[in-house]
Amino acid sequence: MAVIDVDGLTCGYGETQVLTEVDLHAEKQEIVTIIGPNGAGKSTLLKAVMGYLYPTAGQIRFQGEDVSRLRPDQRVVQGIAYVPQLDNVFPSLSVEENLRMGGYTLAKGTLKQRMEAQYAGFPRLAERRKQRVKTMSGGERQMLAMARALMTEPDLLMLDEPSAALSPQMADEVFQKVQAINAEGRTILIVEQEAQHSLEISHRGYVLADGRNAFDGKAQDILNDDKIRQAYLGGQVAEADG
Amino acid sequence: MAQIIFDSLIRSSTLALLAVGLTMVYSVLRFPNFAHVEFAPLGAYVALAGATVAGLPLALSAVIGIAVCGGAGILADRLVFQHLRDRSPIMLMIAAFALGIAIRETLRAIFGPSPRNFPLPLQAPMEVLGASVTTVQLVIIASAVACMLIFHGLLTYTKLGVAMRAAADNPNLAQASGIFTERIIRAVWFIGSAFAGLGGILLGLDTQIYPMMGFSVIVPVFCAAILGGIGSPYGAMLGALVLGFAENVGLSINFAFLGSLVGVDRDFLFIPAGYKPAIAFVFLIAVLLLRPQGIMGAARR
Repeated sequence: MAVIDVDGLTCGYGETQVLTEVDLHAEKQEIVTIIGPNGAGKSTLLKAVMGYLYPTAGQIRFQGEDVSRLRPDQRVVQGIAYVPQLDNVFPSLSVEENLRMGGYTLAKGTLKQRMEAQYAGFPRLAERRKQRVKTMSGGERQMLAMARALMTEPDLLMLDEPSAALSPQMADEVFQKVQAINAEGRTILIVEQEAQHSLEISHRGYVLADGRNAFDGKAQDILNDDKIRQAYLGGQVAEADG
Repeated sequence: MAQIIFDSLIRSSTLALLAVGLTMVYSVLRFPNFAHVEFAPLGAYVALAGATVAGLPLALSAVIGIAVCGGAGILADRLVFQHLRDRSPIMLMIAAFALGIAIRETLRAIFGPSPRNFPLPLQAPMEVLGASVTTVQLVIIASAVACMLIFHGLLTYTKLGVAMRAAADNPNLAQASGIFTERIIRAVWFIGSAFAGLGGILLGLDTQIYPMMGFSVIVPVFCAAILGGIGSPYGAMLGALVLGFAENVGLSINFAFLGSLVGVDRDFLFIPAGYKPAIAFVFLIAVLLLRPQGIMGAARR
């Protein structure tokens, strides 16, 4: 049974339809990357899975259950977590308060325990417990954003462009972290514009174009497919081969 | 001197209670709630009715007035603002204006236009640090300070308070954290409107109760909220403090030294008391020019 199963999803904002009959699934402990040009609907797909917009057609099943009509906060309880590309932390809250909010649905005892687990996983956050997020660097924020989302120990973690605007070293660190989270048994959905790195750590990938499925397959096949590379991973061909 | 400080603190107390509620609703819903100040007469009239018609002790009827305002805030959201969540702030603002008029005129229809007083015996002022104050005035200051401290504790130490700040920061991310934001919004309406109700009761204790008592302070209340940076509760407290002092100090300064500069030779040159409301406007304009995000407000993208 797939952890997440998006079936013929059609949705959009008001009159504007963004996704048309999109299919996507991810199994337990899979890393799946969604690539595609700007405006293809990648971010919208994640938002729809989180519950910010409801399908006009199709279904979203999580662990076999239809969650299409649940609110985002209800899907969090089911085991879905999401890290948006921008504004993915609470800037005026401290690091600790951000984690507390990540664990909003947890009982008090569990909350403390999970918080310590996140500090162990992200030692740099532990040094900054009381610090306001406003004053932190982009890399530290991205780490905090992931730690916040992991507080509920989700079965499905969705990351929207986790490496965007980060230095290459910071991006490496983020992807290592993603692999470590995956190794704990979690399914991960990543949306990436610069997808090379993300596909390298993924099991499978999807190509979205104009709000529709354009291609899907093993991540390695996508990386090796010259047509896809040229169309969607432009300019990275020579670099990866050399 | 001490008298000016006391008068300023009394003014700041009522302004702070009203401005904090206004700024709270703004922080999560991002629209200026012009109906907010109407919870002041609502709270005052309910407390008055409790104390006179029902014959309850004043403190108890004040609590009832405050609770009724909190509930009325939630009701206002349910009936009006909840249906307009995705609309532009202009739309919400106009709806708030309409709701404000409706509350104000309903109160006028029920209680009549003439000013009323809480049934309190006339009090002889006492001397405190060289200023003459009444017990009621001390109660006003004390209850406002207590409210601000409790509110600070709520925001800092409770799950609900942190969630309120989180929802103000980023409502979508709050939802992705498992927070049912509509419940937080309800709590914000309750607390914000209850504070306004208490502000109205205190205003009524200090002066009089009349239907326009909320609307008549709308400028200083908005000014205090904007002065501190709208959306920031601590900013609103600071803004109310600054404005309370500015109004009272402004009226007590002898501007004769300025007069001599422009050739007006007089021994006394005070701002007439009738111009007191203008002080808030002058401050508001100055703040909007110099620091549009307010004293405590973060610059928004």
